[in-house]
Amino acid sequence: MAIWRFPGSKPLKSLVEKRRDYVQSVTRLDATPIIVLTAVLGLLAGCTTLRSGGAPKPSFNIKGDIKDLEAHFQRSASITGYYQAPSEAARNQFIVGRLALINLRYLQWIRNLTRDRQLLDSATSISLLGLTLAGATVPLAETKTILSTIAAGITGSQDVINETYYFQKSIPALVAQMNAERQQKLIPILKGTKKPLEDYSFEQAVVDLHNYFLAGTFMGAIQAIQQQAAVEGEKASERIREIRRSTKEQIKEAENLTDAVARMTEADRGKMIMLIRTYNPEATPAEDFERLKSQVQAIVFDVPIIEGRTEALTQSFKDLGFLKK
Amino acid sequence: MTTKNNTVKRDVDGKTTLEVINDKINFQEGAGGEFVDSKPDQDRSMNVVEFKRLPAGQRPAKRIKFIKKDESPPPDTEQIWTGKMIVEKKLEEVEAY
Repeated sequence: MAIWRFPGSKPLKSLVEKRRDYVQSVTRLDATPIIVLTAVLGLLAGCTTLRSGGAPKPSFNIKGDIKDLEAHFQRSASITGYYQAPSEAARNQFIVGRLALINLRYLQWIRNLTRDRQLLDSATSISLLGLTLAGATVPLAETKTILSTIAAGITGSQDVINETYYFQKSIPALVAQMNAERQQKLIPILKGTKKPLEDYSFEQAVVDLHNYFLAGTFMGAIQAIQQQAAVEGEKASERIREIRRSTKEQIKEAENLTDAVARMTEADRGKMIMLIRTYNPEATPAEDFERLKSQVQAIVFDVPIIEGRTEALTQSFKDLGFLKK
Repeated sequence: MTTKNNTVKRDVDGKTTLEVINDKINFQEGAGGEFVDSKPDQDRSMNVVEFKRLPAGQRPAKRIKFIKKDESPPPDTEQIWTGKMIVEKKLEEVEAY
């Protein structure tokens, strides 16, 4: 069986051939090159993303800068260092040192983030899958089983690619959130540096710096997203409903419905439950009669905001004998 | 929207006449609410009207009547509210009796 080749791709050719020879020698089945090709293509796909790290090479040496800064701020950016001679200047020196280090480490992390995920998830996962696939095919003798393994392998590869793809898609959103959060958390720190020590204490600066650091983490970004979602949800639930246009007859009908609720007695319990189940199926009819009555009134209360509710409810009240027909 | 003190806010379109606005408020009152306050929301051209939820089976004994400030009040009534409302897209001084 012929092996697919990319013209002029010597490393691919030799790799494929090596793998084919190895697998064929063990299994002696014609289908094996397909398995190996799948695995190797997976490996090479990972290597391609590996070379394009997803970020430009920085114009400065982050590692070197961090090392220099750590050496420079070793004393001033340490809490112990501050307490040896507390002052506004020492506080600000501490803040500047910590900010610089947090920022550089953040940049370093963000840069590695994309590359690491691509390396580990795409290349490594597919490589592992390829090896597992080859391993699984070795002791097998039946072509049918091998073909099913190939199929599983292909599906598996797709899953890995999909997972990586979606993770990659979520990274920019998380980074954007982290950047926005960091910006917010930086404000009190910068304002604080302009204040005297009694108005912006060293301890407060430490707390604010910690919050600033946390804002640049996945956990911080996810927390912020969750908080935003909760606020949005609250806003949505607080949406004010508009009273629709009404006729004089509809106003009278609404009044009649409320008056009918006033006349309801314990003997009407069954009918009241029926009304609640019809117009508010999510509600559990209350045991307490006054509460049950309030549940019916709540249905009437929403009449002005629901199209057609006045007429329907009036008809139901008539059918149940709460209003004259 | 229901607030902690058992009041509910409703939007009432500010592009309509005061009579239509009045009818809408009467509608909600007939359904067991009692007018409390109204605040204009000029961005949306809406009046955000606050109603108190009355106990089950209760509604205001008399229908509320809104008039523009320069109009004469209905006989045998007393003013229960005064404020600004968006009426036909314009901010107006309104009184309620």
